Amino acid sequence: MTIDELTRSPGEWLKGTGPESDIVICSRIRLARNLADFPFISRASKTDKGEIVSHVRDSITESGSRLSYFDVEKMPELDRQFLVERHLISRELKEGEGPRGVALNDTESASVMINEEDHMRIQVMRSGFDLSGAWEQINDLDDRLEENLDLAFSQELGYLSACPTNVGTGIRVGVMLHLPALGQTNHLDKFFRALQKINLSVRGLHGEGTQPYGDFYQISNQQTLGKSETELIQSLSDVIPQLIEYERKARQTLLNERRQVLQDQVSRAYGVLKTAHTISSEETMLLLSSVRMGINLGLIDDMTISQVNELFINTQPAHLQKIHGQALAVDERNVLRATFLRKKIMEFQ
Amino acid sequence: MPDARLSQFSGSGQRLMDPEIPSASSSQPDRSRAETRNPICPACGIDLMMFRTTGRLGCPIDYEIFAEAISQFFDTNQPASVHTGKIPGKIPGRFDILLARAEMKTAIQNSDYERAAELRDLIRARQNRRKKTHDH
Repeated sequence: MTIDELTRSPGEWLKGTGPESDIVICSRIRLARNLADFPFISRASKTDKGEIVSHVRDSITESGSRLSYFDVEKMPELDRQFLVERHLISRELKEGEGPRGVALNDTESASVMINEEDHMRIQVMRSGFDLSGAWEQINDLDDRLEENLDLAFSQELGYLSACPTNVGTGIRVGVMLHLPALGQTNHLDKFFRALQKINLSVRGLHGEGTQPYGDFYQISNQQTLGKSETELIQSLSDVIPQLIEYERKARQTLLNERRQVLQDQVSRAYGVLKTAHTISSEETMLLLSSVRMGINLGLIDDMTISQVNELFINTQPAHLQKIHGQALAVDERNVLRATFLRKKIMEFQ
Repeated sequence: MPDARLSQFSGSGQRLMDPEIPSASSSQPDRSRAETRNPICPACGIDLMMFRTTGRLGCPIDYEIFAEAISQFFDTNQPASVHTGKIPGKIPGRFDILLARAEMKTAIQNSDYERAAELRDLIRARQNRRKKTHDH
């Protein structure tokens, strides 16, 4: 598998399928793991990092997990950004130093980042609301990888991580939601405050430190020690259906009380995407967010959610440049993005 | 006697350092040093100030060296301070190779190449032994 081959599909998390996929974009679980024989990354030498990569790659091969390895250290900047946009590597791995990489399966549902904040960050993503499926998959992959590795583990503190915020289970369970109606009815702050009270965090599209954009939010656990993996997963499984229900009600309220305003907003968004001659990735995301809600409410009937998702990922800066086959300046990208959108939407119809 | 506070890192109460890897006294985690106001980890070299500044630990042994500061963090950020989740199929139990690596780096810095080579061979032998265990 090569990076260029990945451009042919939107990847697992944007498939637009799975339970509750009108509101839940994807479910994600990651596990932080470290090898017992090496210092954590901040104190690891270049030689240490090279050996860690080698040990983890050997364990992947021996586990029969069928993951393809990509060397992020030697990768061109554009390809690194491409993987960030697909949520297959973090910004931290992209900007890191020394030997590091990522191993991916064919569907991009499973990945292992090597030498990010921890020696290993194992990740599984599932389209829609499917935390139990994600846990089953990642638990199996973790079992197989650890067979050939000595992991840093203490009976009392569990899996030992570079940052104490991850110690214990090393788990981060996250669900990415599209909540445009709750955003428009100004109810989000109230819900997010309630989530924080039960130790769940709310973040933007690209995780830690990013601002919510286009009404896409990630809800995830903050605690990792003192509760089991299944308890932590359950705490999200309990609360997410309530958020889904509130978003559905808010959409219905908007339809009943402000149908014309809503129809106008959705149609204008669609109109701009179909006709613009230069457009930024931020504006594209905001407009696609409106179109996505319009499709889910039956206000737009000539495009599907999976087509919106395809536009969503392929208009991101690095994706656009990969598809075009060369690096482009911002202004050139904005023109190319608009051309790409017009052509694609015409094809869809 | 093994240090009781270090025993949490050895599943069966084994010694942190293996007797087969003789260590310079400077590389042994010792209680008196861990109890100073700014303890330094013998394996990765970070001190409490560095941990407080960056929020990052340098190696697994730091969980013992900075146990008090980390425990305060758990009190405010975690529901409990004992792991109740998944347990790996096998637990290495000792951080002997990690400590030997640290000592090897110090030996190289001090141009003690004989000692560095000795430690390198011991680390390789230990890793090969573990690999054979994995294969069976």
